[in-house]
Amino acid sequence: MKNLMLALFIFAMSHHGFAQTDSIIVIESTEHKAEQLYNSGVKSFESANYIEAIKYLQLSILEDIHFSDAYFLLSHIQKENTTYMDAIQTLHDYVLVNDRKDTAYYLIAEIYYQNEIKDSATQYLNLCIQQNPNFFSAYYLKSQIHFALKEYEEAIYNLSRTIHLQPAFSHAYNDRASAHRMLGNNEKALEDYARAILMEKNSIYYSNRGSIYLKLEKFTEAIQDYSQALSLNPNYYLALNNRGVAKMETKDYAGAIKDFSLCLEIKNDYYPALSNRGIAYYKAKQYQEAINDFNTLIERIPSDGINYLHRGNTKEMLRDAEGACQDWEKAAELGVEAAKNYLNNQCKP
Amino acid sequence: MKKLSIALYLFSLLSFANTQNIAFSKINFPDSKKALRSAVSNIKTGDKYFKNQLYREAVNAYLEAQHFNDRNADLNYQIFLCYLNLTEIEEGFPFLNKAFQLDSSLHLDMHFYMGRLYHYYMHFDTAIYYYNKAQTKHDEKTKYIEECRFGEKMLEQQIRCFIDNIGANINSPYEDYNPTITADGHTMYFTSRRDGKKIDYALDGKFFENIYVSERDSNDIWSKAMIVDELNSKTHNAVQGLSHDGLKIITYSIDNNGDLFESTMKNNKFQRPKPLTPINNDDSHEISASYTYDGKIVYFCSDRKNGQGKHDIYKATLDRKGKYSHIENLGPVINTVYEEKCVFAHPDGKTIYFSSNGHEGMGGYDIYYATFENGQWSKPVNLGYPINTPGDDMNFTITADNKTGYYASNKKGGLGGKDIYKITFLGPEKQFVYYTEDNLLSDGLKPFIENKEIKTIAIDSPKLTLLKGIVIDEETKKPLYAKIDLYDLEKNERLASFESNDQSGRFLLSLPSGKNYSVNLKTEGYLFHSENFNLPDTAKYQEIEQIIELKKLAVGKEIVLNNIFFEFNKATLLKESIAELENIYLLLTENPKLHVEISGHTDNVGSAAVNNKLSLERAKAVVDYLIEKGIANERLTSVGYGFEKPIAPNTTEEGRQKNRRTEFKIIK
Repeated sequence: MKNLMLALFIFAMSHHGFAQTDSIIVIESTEHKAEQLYNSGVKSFESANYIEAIKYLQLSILEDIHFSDAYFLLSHIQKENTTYMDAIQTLHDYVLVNDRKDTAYYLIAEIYYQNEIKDSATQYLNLCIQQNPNFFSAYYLKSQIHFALKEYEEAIYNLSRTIHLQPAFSHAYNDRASAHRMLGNNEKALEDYARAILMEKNSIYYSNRGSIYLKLEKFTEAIQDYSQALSLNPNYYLALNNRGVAKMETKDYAGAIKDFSLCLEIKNDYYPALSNRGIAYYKAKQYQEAINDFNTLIERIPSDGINYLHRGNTKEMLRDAEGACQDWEKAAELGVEAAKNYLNNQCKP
Repeated sequence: MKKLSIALYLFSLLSFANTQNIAFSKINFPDSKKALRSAVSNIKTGDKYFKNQLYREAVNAYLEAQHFNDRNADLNYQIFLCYLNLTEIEEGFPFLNKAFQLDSSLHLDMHFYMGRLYHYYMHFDTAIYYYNKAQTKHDEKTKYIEECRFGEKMLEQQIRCFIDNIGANINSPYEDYNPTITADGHTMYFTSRRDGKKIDYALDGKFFENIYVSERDSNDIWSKAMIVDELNSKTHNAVQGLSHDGLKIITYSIDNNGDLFESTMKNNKFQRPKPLTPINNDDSHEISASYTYDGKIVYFCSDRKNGQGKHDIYKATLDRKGKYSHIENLGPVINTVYEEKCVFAHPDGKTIYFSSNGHEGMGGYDIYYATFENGQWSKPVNLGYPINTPGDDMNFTITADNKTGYYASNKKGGLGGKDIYKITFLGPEKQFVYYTEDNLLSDGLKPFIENKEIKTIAIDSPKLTLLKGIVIDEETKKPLYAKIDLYDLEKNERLASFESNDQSGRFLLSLPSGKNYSVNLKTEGYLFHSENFNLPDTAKYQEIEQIIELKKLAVGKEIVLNNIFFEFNKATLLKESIAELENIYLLLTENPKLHVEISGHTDNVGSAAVNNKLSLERAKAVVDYLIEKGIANERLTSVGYGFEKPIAPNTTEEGRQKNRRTEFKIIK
């Protein structure tokens, strides 16, 4: 019984997080004192009385040092309270007295991963896999670590293991597609994104596939995918920004400007969209509007030479050669190579 | 502007829809018999003129009749044909369109010409539709369809430039064209058919062509154009080519079936133009010509026999007698079975620009460039839209730095007739960086920003040095005439000779990269002056402006011999020194009483003893060369100053280089 409950608990924890308290399993039996204390701990946890919950759970463990559920809930609360070392200690205590160690190792790894201590996380995930080679969440978490370390081949290996163990896990397909993408294997990326989409209509998957199409200069397909992503999540501002770029590529500058503007309505400090809109205005020959966007960017991020480059390019079209040269000079100072060329070729020393 | 025209055209198309073709008959005009008679008479008059190819008179008569009845397909079509023959096709298109709306089956060629209309206004798809529908005997149909397809591509890849009317100081309400400029772009000669004192009408009803000049100031303002009296006669005179320094000009006159003439500037005035023999050919039509940077070759256009097509581009090379002979057709890479005209040789010494209606283009004449390298011409490259259009784009010229071009166009919005336009080239599209961003991982927590850089090619600036300046007397500072010899030091070969303007002392030389040049300036009664320009193949475009002060031949005067070179740390003369040594030898033979001191100088690297010895040995090497050539020993003194007399600080490599020198001083 406990094993089943624990599995459900871990699954819930992996995929939904602890915030959803209805996933906590309350032990019904009142025969065992440790269980009674555990149930009190759960109640306190549900009423957000963490100090009391910790006390009950610690008492429960004292009553029965093999009571795994008490360890896991206690470590979870400690983690939520950001007392990470306490959480890890709790899980270590569990490992010392219990035979099934895989889950504890996984949870320790997860804490290390969340705290960006990737080496330790990997070490515990390996221990977890040693204990239980079919623990798919461990492979999945390993893939995330490899991805973060830009070790895409290794990420693909672990995602493939995840998929082997959990064939219906759409996230793994999406992530493997992204790893392929990072390696430049666009065709493989397209295949995996398509599988992920088949399993789950998710705005992230559609937008990601759209970006592969954009890379492959299949702009119509890209726009379709971004639109699909937006139909699933109208506030997905990244898809709006990306669709704007795809529209620019098809010379639909008005459409692009509209998308970037919508994106900025959702997230007004999203500077990539502001920069892209400036470029779209430039392409649409609305130079003054382009200048306005680049001015805003320069005001907000004065250290980014690209914005000076863009504004200089726009001033050139407004026949403000002096202004263009001043901006290219600034861009060149900030390390933009292209600006150095323009300065040399077009500006008087 | 063409977009506006097409809008007007489309408007007219709607307006004339559902109209009927109305014949000039009493039934149709029962109440206007007198006016009808007059209109019919005008049509008959127009027909007579048309038959005699007097299209201007014909169109005037037809237009009178058209005022009475504008809904006659035949008359509208005739008016269109007149304009077509007058090469005023844009004027004719509304009449063609009207005729087509009234009766599209009036003539076999109507669909073909409708294709031309849409082609002209760059509605390429529609043009192809009409061309395909046309059952015409015009061979050009296939060519025009290809032009439309090419045009579609060109619209996608527009050239970034500003095209501006050059303004009322140059352009007039009449035809203004054939802009030709000096390499620095400061002086422009052009042809105009404007009204003026003693200018008569030509047979085509316009004023005769005359040549005008304008100067550009430092604020980029062109001066009011002045007629160049000495180049004009009572008939057609058109400028065709100008040497890069502006001291020689090639003009065109209709005499003898169209010939080229050449004139040189003396006392700030061009001399009377003389026929450019043997380029002119009795049986052919010679137009458009251009000097190469060294003046050794003149490219010109001619429809002489045995060419590739109609007018072809030829080159004539300067022979030992100073005549342009050895005429060669540039061959099938450049010339087509159609027309090649308006050739312009760039000061870089390897590029020509020309107009052609035979190479891959948008229609009409387009402007192309091609380069001559490794003994062959490259495939001509179309300059692209908006410089080229489906109309005739001709008379292109460009400054040495490739940044500004000029051409003539009759596009709408000008001052009238053809106007001269300035093209400011902006180079390839500037770089922009787009940003896309994705949540690559499903948890949506790790966004990934991707930059997409639009990579661009750096502006391809010409590889040449434009040397311009003024020659003056060292003491009086008055401008001097000087002969300027250009040497290739590696080959010890004189490449070309130029002159400074005898009034202003100004000169302008184009030095294409890839040679070690000596520029030697001399004039009677003065010491020569030499400069060295060692320009590797990779040397980028640069403009150098110098004031050259020539020193009188007098005791105590000295010059630096800038083109004497020695092996490193030795006194062995390099072969690159020969041209300079020969100039010293010539000076001493022409002035047999001169006694001179040749002195060697070094930088301050090393000990004084070593440097004194080296500088003396180097001076002696020069003296020995001259003695061997026959100059009397007693006229020559060699001195080694080591680093005693620096002319620049020895703290920089540039300064040290200046200090390592050989000097020449008159001592008696």
